Amino acid sequence: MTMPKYLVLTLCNLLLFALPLQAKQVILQASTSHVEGQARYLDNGHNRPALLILHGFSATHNYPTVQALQDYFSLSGFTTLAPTLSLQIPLRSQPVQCNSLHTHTLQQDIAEVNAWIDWLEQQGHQDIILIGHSSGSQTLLEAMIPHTPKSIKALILTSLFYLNGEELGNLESEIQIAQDLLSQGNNAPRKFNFLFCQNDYLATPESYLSYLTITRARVLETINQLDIPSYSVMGSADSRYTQVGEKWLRELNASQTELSVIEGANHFFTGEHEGLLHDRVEVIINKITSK
Amino acid sequence: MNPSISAKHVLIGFMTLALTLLLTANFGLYFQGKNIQSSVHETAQIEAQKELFSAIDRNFHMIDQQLKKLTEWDEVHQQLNQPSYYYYWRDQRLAESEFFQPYYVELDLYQADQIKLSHLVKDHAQAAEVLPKQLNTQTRYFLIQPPNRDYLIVSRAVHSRQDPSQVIGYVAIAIDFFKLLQQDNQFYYLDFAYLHFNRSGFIAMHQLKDALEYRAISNPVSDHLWSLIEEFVTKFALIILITTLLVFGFIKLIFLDPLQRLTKFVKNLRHQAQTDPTQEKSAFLLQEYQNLQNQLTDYHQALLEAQAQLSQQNQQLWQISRTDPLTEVYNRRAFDDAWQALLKQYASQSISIAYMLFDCDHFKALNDTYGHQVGDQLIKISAQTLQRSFPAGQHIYRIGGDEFASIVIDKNIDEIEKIAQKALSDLISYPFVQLDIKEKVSFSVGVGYANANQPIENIEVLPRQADIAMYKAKHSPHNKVHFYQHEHDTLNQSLVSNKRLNQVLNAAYTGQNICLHYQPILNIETQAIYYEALVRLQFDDETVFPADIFTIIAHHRLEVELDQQILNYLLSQLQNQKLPPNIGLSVNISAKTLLQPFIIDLFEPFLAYLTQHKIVIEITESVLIEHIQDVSFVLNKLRRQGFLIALDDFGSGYSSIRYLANMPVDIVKFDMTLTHALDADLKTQRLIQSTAHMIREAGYELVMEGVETQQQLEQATQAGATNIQGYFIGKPSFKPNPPGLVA
Repeated sequence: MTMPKYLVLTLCNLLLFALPLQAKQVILQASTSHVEGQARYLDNGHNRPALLILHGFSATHNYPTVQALQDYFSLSGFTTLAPTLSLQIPLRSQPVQCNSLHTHTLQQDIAEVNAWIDWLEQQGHQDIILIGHSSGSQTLLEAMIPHTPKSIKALILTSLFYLNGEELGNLESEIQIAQDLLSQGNNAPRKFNFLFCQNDYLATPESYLSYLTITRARVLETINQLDIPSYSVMGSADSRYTQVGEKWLRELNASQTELSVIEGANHFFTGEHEGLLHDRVEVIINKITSK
Repeated sequence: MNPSISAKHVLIGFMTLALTLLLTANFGLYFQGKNIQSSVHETAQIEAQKELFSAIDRNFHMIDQQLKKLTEWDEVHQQLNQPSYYYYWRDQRLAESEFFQPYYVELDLYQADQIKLSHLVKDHAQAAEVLPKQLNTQTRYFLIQPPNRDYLIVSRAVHSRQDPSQVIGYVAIAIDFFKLLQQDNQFYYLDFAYLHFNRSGFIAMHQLKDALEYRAISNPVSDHLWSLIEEFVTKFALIILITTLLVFGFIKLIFLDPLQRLTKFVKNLRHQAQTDPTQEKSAFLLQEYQNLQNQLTDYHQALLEAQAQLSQQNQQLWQISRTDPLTEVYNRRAFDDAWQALLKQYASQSISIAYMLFDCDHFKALNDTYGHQVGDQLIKISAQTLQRSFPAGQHIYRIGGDEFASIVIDKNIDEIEKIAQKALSDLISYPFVQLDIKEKVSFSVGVGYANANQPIENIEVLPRQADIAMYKAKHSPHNKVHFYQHEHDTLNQSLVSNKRLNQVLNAAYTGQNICLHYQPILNIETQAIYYEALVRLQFDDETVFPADIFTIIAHHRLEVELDQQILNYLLSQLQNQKLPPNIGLSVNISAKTLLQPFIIDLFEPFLAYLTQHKIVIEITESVLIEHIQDVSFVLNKLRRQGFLIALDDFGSGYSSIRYLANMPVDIVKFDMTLTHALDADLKTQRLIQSTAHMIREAGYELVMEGVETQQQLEQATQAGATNIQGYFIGKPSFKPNPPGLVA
């Protein structure tokens, strides 16, 4: 059964490059941001819900997992918008590195997400489904709290984890220092331990601390606070489980999100699991739209 | 004489030439190699230059690419947009980013107004920063800060992503230029360690080529090889030099020095042979030189011995050449030498000189009569007698057949006369009868004497004066010792008369004033007449006769010239028919002319007249006797041609009648003394008649000269003469007149 599916995916990818999509770059500056951000917009009309697909930590909309999702659903007839969070870099187009200067905050990211939702609405899309990958899922979650825009019909959260927790390598002492510095008005950048950027995450304390609000409990809490349906798609072979434990899947499953796990898939659903991801998301979207 | 060069100079020249050629070739090769090395170096330099600037271009391109990427880097845009934490970004992030290259010394961002971002932060400026606070218009230049900070400064504008036409800032990099070159390039020709700038401060791009000092990397193999070549060339030159010196020294020591010693040895042999004939020999290394020296010594010794023998023989020869072999007294050569030496000596030592001549009277007749052996004995005894008679140490010279001479100096005339008289006395008192000579042998002495302090001219004439004195003595029956007196010059007046001398000499040379007088000769039997042509010199006021003519001619030895002029005159008489037809003519020819090789040619023009004229050639008795062999051929040839030969003056000397049988003559002419002797005693008459009879019997015609009377005519006829000549028949006249007294 998987072989024909892969064949279809391969053909779809070939078609993506062979057929000219009506993709265009959209530039947008959130009202609270200092810089403009950009997004890849593929307009397939308004017959179906528009899909807003958000990349993960430090990535862009060109990240393979994100781009493949956008391309797949654009070919499937959906209008898709894949914004790249500016991270306070004008028209950012490249992934940021751990040791890049991080001055952006979670609030700025949320504001940009909301700005893009507003933009979609302005484009006449009243039904929007948000799809997030990794920390993009967390940002979308945070953006729906406390109020979810009316146009948002559902959240599809892939590889959903959290950003703060001792199991992730965060040091309480470091957090305390950052908090102290910030309280002292010293927002000078310094290197922190953050996710996979161990001792290498150059960020202002403000930036650093803003993302640490997304704790394990916060994620579960925001899921439960959502007034729209949320779906979580996880890979069973995600390496993050070595830090957060398999328990995380059960905790998610216990929350209000509808969890589905793709067996063998890693954090980025690479390889044969990419198609499975698309199938699962498509099933979810069909499920959403059929309601 | 060809200029010769010493062996030493030849050796030095040869060695110098060889050394020059070898060194020239050696250094020629060296400089050829140097040129090749220079060419290689130039090629390497060009390659190094190409390599360097190719690397520079490539690195500039790479830097441009890096700059381009930097200007497109999100974080650059981030910092230009929000530079609050630029300082942290630049110092912490930038250096760790993939964009920051190891050869970057500094990377800075500038605002759109070209002010450095880092300078916006208060108290931030760092003295060590290379990039300027504000960018200039040059996007690429060099900043050289000695000693070792050589920066390439590049910058590029960063354009707004929303509005690409808007410059939002700049990226500038200070690059360690040499580190950059070293980082990405591999140099094979360029000596990178040497590469440096030759100036400091700001260097624009167009100044780069001039500002960069570079060179090709040295090739260790080539350099080593070249150093080996240089070492070889130097050593080779040294070897050549040393070898040349060694060869020179060797040749000099082994060959040249011995040669010079040999040369010196030979020179010493030449110059010291007499003083040091046993000079010390050198020792030679080479056996050949030693042998050569020994051989030279032996040869020289043999040469000395040969020279001594030769000298002795020369001395003997010299002695022989100056000694008369018959008499063993000095000969004519020795006398001439002695006389010439005396003349030279006289210039410094003017002393009295006596030139003495001794002569045996009628020696030829004695010789012919008694034979040569008796004649030789007579001469020998005469010499010995004179030698004994003369004072000791006084030399006697034999200067002619029977003629002796002596030179006595520093004696007065009385002493000389005593010497002469004593010598004459000793001679005539010698008993020559021992030699079976029946007649009394007489001698004549002629002396030329000059007192001391006479001019040299007076000395030089002494031989002639002695001759004159001798002549005088010969013709004197009693006074047989004659000293030359000044009055004797009258005897030889023609010799001292310039006028006469000039007349005779001019006639002999030109033929002018010569004329012939003709004296008839009568054939007694047939009454036929022919004429003897006798020479005269005819001038307006006088006539010069033979006595004067022949004295001068004999003195100047012009007999041949005079005979030629006489024959020319006679020939012209015949040609011009000045003479009567069919007359016979007789002409005198001197002994000297008769001995000339052209004598036959001289008479050739007369051949045409032989048919009309009887032509008789008269010769003297002496030439026929003394040169019988030489003249016989000539006379016989003339006789065959039709000429008749007459022997003139027969009996004037002491000619031996034994010649008569074979004389190549046709006619014998008795001297007038024989004709006049027919008046003498009966014995003499008979002797002359017998002689005439023998002549006639031998087939000769006989002419008797000097017939001046009827009696003499009869006597001559009775004696057997076929022809007679004399005043009784006719005197010589300028025309051939027939005899007046003979009918």
